[in-house]
Amino acid sequence: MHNILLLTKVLLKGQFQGMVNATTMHGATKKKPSKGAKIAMGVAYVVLFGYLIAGFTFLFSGINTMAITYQLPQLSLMILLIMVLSIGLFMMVFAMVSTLYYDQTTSILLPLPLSATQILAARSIVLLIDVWMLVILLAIGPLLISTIQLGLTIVQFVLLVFMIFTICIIPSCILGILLMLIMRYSRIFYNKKRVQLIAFLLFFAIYFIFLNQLGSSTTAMDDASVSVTLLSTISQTIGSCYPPLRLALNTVMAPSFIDGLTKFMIYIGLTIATVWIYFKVGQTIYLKGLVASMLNGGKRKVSRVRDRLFQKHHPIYGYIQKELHTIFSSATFIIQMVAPVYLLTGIMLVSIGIGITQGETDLFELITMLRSLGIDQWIAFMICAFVLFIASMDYCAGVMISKDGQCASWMRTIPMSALDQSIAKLITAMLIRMPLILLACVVAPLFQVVEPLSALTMFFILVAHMVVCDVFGLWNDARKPYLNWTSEIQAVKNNTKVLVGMLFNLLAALIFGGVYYLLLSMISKRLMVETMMMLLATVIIVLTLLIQRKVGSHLLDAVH
Amino acid sequence: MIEIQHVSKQYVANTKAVDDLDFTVHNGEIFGFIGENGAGKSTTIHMISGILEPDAGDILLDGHSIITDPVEAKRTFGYVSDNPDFFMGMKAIQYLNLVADIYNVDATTRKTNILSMAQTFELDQLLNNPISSYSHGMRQKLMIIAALLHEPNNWIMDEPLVGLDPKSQHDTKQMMKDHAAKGHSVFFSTHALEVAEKLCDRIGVIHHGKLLFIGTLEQLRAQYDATMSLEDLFLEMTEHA
Repeated sequence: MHNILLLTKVLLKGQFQGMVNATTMHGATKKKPSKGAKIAMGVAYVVLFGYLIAGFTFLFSGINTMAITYQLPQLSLMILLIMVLSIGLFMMVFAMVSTLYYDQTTSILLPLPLSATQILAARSIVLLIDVWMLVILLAIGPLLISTIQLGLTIVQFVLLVFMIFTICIIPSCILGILLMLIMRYSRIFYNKKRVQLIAFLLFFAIYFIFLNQLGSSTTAMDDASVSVTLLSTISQTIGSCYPPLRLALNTVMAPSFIDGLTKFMIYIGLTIATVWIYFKVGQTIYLKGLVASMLNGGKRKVSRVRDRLFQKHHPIYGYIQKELHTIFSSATFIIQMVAPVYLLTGIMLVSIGIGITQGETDLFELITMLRSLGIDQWIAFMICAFVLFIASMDYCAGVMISKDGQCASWMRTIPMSALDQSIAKLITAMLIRMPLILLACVVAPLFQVVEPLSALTMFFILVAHMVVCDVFGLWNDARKPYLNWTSEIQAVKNNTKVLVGMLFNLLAALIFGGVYYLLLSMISKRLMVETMMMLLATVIIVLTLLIQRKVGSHLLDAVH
Repeated sequence: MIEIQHVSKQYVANTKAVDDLDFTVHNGEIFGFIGENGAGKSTTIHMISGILEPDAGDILLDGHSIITDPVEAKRTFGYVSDNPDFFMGMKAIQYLNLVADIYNVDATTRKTNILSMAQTFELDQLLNNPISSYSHGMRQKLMIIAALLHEPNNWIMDEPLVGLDPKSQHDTKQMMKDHAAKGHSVFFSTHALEVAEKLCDRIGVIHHGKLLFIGTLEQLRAQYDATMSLEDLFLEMTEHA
């Protein structure tokens, strides 16, 4: 036990120290920040996290009011537990592979006199704490507001807190057992990239199957109770898919003490049994899988180098190729940096596709309605706002230096100026987002959803938003790049800079969308609105690119 | 030619990692940089290669300052890091092509150089494989190929022989000799004193950031004891410094 705690402490320190240093220390000098900077940073984090907590509290306040109106108090608690479970599992799917199998500390831990159970236990605790940190952040507001609004007793409150902290344990253990079996017995999964991509695809396959099931069970809803019925259906569907969730809820909302105690004991028993099986399996197969994972693809067959591989390219082109290769050779980077944006884009395209073929999606109904009201100028605004929202999820530029990790010092030894390297990184980030912009601006007029002029305006707005966000992201990363990570996920996810970047993107989207909205509201001549927006976007692009010249020349100041 | 002019670097207050280093590595010579762990070898090499900026002084590579004219200065050298675990997701040929692109090496030269050096290090059949599938020694060899790909005038290496098998060590030493014989300069750090003894035209001994000695082995022996080995001389010097 002592060894597990010691190892956990060391792993946690390694994980969080880098994260803290990356956000508090001055990147170039490694000096601690001044008192004023610390206070400013503290205020920024309070605002940042306050914004998140307030958002979720507000959301749950609405759900609670609705649940009370329809006399379904257990509904909002179920939604809260589902939210915790979904977020926890989503994090686990990706973090588990990296933390249990592909952490760089493996080669240091394996020669130490530690048992498989000790290493597994320490890493599992680190994983759980990682999940808990986000869960606490997102669930604290909903927990308190639900306790007040639903009038929960102290015992119910304590039980609810306990359930929030433990609800992820059983499914995480099941996931862990599956992963250990795969890593031990299947050679095909020795490749990290493959493991993570398959985990990702499996997760989304389950997600879409669930959505499909949900969709088919909510077709016969009347308008008045649509939200409550939808939420109830979600709860019922997830509850039947995962019985411990229902058990946890019934424990909190039990009508009598004996009933509650019985259910609580069953829940605890189930959790302990799953954890026991997890460690039993781990004791037998974890180490063998861990050793195998270190091969990282194992031996490969020899293949001939062809003449076409010796082609000469411009240095910036070569550098961009390297950047793209770094991102697309890592499933973690693909999943964290690229996939969310393209998944949402996929949903958007599917929605348009279904609308075109069947004409029955909400989006197309809304478009038809706006056209019938003669205010179809808002269609372009609506699509633009939607794409701006999706684009805000893309924070590639914000981790462009951090993702290089220990390789970053190489960037300082090559005969390429910091500005050129920043241009290459910026172009890479833009290349990743550009297909989304082009899709929106080409597909929309192509299917006569918007007029070509509006599509052009949309293009200018989206490009301006992209340029502003990417330059900010690059600057933010250049200030304090997080290079000493031991697991890729730390560089692109467990990093407060990512959160700051996404919030900045959202803020920029709000401003661009807001200006477009104001102009459309105040000026009746559409040609004038579109021209003004295009001019404004052009000015912003030019100004930002001028700022980029300054930012770019200091790109490598904090890289050593 | 590498000119190190009164260079200093400080990480923590009151302790200089490198203190007023001032020496020149001439064309046509192999210069060995010797010192204990933490003596300041890697800091010096990081400053020469542009990874770190000196707090004081300047470094000129073929007349180009690494501080004021970094891009041109960097064109003049090939650098082999002490950590070869770079760009693990790339194939070896992709990495070499990236380096060749950055140094503007034309297609014919890059093909000739890559293939000949890969043959020397017996990597020619493995160039299309990912770097992650290479052993430590193979990665070290790859870094050496990358450093020499653009035929630089100066060759800077941090512990270049660590992790190499005996044949590759021999080949690398021969490449260093050939490089110097063509009138180019070789600057490398090492702990292996017998390597420095046999290979170097001149050596520099650094201790606690200060240069204790610079010159040929004969000059060192003349200064201390002609019968002593370099190992004994090194210990004698650092113990009494």
